[in-house]
Order: sequence, then structure tokens, then C-alpha cells
Amino acid sequence: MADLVGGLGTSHVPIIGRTIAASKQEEVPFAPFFRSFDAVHDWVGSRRIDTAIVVFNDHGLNFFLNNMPTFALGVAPLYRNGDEGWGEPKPREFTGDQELSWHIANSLVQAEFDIATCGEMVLDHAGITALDLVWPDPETMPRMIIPLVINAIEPPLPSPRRCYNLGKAIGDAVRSFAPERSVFVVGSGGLSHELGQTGKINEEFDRFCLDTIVDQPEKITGYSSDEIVDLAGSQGVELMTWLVMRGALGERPAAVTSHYQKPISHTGGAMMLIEGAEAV
Amino acid sequence: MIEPGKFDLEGATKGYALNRMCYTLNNAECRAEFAADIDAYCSRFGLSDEERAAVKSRDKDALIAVGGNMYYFQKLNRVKLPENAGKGQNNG
Repeated sequence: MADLVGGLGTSHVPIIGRTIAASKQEEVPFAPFFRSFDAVHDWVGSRRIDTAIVVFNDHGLNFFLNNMPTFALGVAPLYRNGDEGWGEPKPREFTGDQELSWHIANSLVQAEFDIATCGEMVLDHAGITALDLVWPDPETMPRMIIPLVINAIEPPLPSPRRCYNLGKAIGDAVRSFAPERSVFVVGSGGLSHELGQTGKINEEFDRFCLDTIVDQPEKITGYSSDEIVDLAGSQGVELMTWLVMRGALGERPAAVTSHYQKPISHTGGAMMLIEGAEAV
Repeated sequence: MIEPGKFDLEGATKGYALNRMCYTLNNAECRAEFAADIDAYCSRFGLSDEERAAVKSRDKDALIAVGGNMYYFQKLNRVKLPENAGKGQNNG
């Protein structure tokens, strides 16, 4: 049987990926953010993880307004990265867990989450930066990934409760998958964003999220999407990716380690590793 | 007033052509064509004078006011313009 061993939420602002690419993790003002991942590397290094589900929001690469899915699940055999406007990136390839992704797709639709399925998907910095933070050595990366894109860019946006419940349904789907599979979920985005007129770094709210997401997620899911925009900025709704991750971990997971770093670029930077509850 | 991240009809219906143009800037050839002649490129996508002025200004508030979506118009700052080197912040 498949099992969900844990999950992690992390910020993904482009400067994090650029810093990794330049190997300058120790030289930047937010170096403690990178050091906080030492505990994550120890944790994932001592476990077998076959598949990473990566939850992120598109950054104007996969989807345009002609066809904007609220929830889009990758079901492809292979994923590559792409040019987001900065120039052609160093090519990366990630094997898709096609068998599990179709099982999740079918389970979600049966559970009345009418997602879009994507037979092709390009990974942007949000998905890849998160993977690189957790598994800096490509050799240790899980064999397979499944990307899930949440619309956090073009309103109407899904509510925090809906995203949390989607995560719960994904957790149920994974746990009902018959083949052996050890699965880890990454939520990539947030937290609060400084955006001039449309957002401010809100340390109090960011810390509230870190303090409650494990044991009292309903404190976050009680907010509307518009209220999250007011609290965390118009791009702070990337927090939805963390709620999907947390929902997938089910009842009574346990925080392993977390870190808050303000600012990273124009955001409240954060990381939290959560261990899934033991399979019942 | 359009508030990014929140639904309203004005935000949903304004700026489609502008956003569509910005979406093409993921492509290197399109970025080169844009940089070579911004007016011609904007005309090809049917941008209004107001949208065109916002594009040239690279001003976030002006772009939002004409219906620009940040996740698309952020790509404007990634285009290298010889005469405007270093202009605009690239906080992507």
C-alpha cells in the first residue's frame, strides 16, 4: 500500500533559486533559511521516498487566461522546465509517476473535485526550487514527481477551505493506492508578499500560519480568499499550496522543524516540515 | 478600482490583450521582437494607447489599472532593453 510519509511547505521566490544556481547560499542575508534545511535533509535522507507531489501556482508559463484551470494535475510521464522570460534555463527532466497521478485524478473526480488533467506540463521555478531545497543533490531526489497547480493568479480563486479539503482528498487517494509507494507532498509558495499597493509583509500573520497549520488548520481555513489577500498580499494566496499539503497529511501529523525568515526578497520566507501520522 | 487577487468584473474583463502579449514574452524570439520595436509589437496584439503607455512605463500600478495581471506583466521586466538597461525591479 502507498503511504504519505510527510510534507513540507516552503517559499519559492526566484532569488532562492538564483542563489542555489550561483552556490551562494552562505553569502546571502537569508543564509539561515538555507541552513534550516539541514534538518530536512537529515529527515528525508533517512526515509525512502518514491514520489513527491509538488503543489505550486503557475507563474504565467503553463496557463494563460484563455484556459485557466482552478486545479490542474499533471498526469505526464515526463516533465521539463521552461523559459519564464529570463532566458532558456539549464535543461532539467523529472519522471512523472503516471500510475499514481491517474489514480489520484480518478479518485479526486469520484470525490467530486473536478480537476483538469494535464498530459503535458512545464515546471516553473516554483515547483523546481522547492524540490532543489529539499533534495539539493539530484541523485537523492525521489524517482518520480506529480505536479499539482493551484490557481492563485487569476480570480476567482479557490477558498482556503476548498484547498485544504482538496489536500484531504489527495491524501485519501494516495492511501487507497494498492502498489507500494512512499509519497511526500511539497507545498510551494508564500508566505506574505510586499507588493506596494497590493500587499505587505505581515510577520504576525505568517507566524500565525506556522503556529496553527499543523494542529488547528481550521483557523486558517476559516478565512476567505479575499481575507488572505488583505492579510498576506495578492500573491500571499500562494499559502493555498501549504493548505493542500497539510490537508493531504490527514489527522494528527507532527511538526518536525520550521523556520521563518523576513525578508527573503519581497516576501516573508518560511519553511515547515511535517511528519505524516502513522498509517492506521 | 481593480484589486489584484480579488474577483470583480472590471478586473476579469480588462487587459486581456495586454496579458496575452506579456504571456508571449516567455519566448526568446518574441522578447527580441518586442525589444526591437515595442510599438509595433503592441499593435500586433491590439493594445490600446493606455495599455501601451503602461507597458512602456513598466509601472506596476499603471499596469494593474489597465487590467494587467502581475504574473504576466512581471515578464516585461525580464526583457533586456538596450536603452533602458537596469530599469524596473525584477522581483518576479
